[in-house]
Amino acid sequence: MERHFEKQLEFIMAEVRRMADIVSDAFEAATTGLSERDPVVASHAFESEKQVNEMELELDNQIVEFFALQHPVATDLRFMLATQKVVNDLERLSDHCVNVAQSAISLANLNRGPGLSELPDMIEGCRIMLRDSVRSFLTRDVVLANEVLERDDRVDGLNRLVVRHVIDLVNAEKANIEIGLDIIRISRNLERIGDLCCNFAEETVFLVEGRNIKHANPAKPEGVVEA
Amino acid sequence: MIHENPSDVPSRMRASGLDLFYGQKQALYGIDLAIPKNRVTALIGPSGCGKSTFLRCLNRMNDLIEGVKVTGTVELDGANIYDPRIDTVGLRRKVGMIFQKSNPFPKSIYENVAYGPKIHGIKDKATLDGLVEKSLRGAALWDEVKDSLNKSALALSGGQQQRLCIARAIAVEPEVLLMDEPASALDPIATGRIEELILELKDTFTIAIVTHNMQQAGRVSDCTAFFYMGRLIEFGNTHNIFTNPREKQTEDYVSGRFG
Repeated sequence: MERHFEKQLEFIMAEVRRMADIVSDAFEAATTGLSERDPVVASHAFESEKQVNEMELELDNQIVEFFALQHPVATDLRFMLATQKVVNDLERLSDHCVNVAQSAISLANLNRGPGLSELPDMIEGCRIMLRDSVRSFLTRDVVLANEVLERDDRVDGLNRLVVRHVIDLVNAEKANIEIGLDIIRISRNLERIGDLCCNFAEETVFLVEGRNIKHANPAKPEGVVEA
Repeated sequence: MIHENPSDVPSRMRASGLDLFYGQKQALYGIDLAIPKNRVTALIGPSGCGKSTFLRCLNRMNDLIEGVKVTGTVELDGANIYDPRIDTVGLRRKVGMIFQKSNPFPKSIYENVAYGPKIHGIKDKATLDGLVEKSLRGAALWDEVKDSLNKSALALSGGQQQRLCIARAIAVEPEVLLMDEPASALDPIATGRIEELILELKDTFTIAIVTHNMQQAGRVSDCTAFFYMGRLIEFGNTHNIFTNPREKQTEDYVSGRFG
């Protein structure tokens, strides 16, 4: 006989999956709107945000109720603790997708493309990280989670290159400032999306192995904000 | 919060290769377990797993059951309590026990607490008065009964009776307190008082507690031993047992998926 406890766990897991799907759709809308200079497509990210915010509140309630009534322990406890964090990460991911969409619309209205080869690479890197981090959590795949963590350095490096190129662009012609600001905004939001995917992957490791690997990378001291 | 490994703490009692048979039926299989000093050790496991049997081995209460045979050793501060030369009355003074159902004597509150010290030879009224007060304070009962020490212990509530039994147990100044589901018959308020008391008592005593209440084990114990079918499956600090147990059987039991 399946217990109520199991049903609740399955429901929460299904809701996380649904929330992650919505965030992935928002990411696709924002980045497709950017690359195709299509403000209508980009604006779909705004609709997703409302849904994600509502789901975050609902899942927060479900998680509190589960803790209060079911007193989870061991893997169930780690699952609920990790889920509480990834739900918050998903909401923040959604916010970053909205920021990318806003700048994509701004650039589309300027009728001038970003013209930087690093952005498509960043988008592809983030797309893979988002897909794999969610998958690693849902399937409890630590190997895949570690691949996500390794991929983040490349996204960070591309972000630094974009900033450097924007500086060159603005130095060459002051009129490029408006475009430059949007490009930097997009790049920084993509970089943050990569970081949040890493958080997600770290929660997978905590869920499966009970190890907290946050702040374990000495190459990135806490408090150092990359441009 | 530091979650220490039980093996890093000096042990007060240590079972080694402990087997127990009820007639032909073996109930404990080669238990090796060190009970750390001034800590609370919870013994958990499904009914019939041997946890209460093990607890009773720690002060030879099983000797009172006909047909019981025990092999292996249980050491208290390095001395084997199953040595035939051991005086079991003296042993049970050092290793006291509190049972699931409170069992005060049909005497006054005062006499219940003074009974043990009297048996062990203390006759002086002032000394006994001091011990009774100290024990009742230790059991967090003094303030509630100090004006009615001559009333019958049976007039106390269930939670008060259980604390009286704890006072009676600590009056003989034991080293170890064994508790067999001490709060399972109590309401949540009385249970909370017993749990608070256990946390205070561990400064003075080494405590081993059998409980079916996983939350209680989590709240009061420093170390947890999981028993199943007469074997010790896992022993570790309570934090690890309830967040990341090593053994699947432990995980299944503490998360309620057993069977």
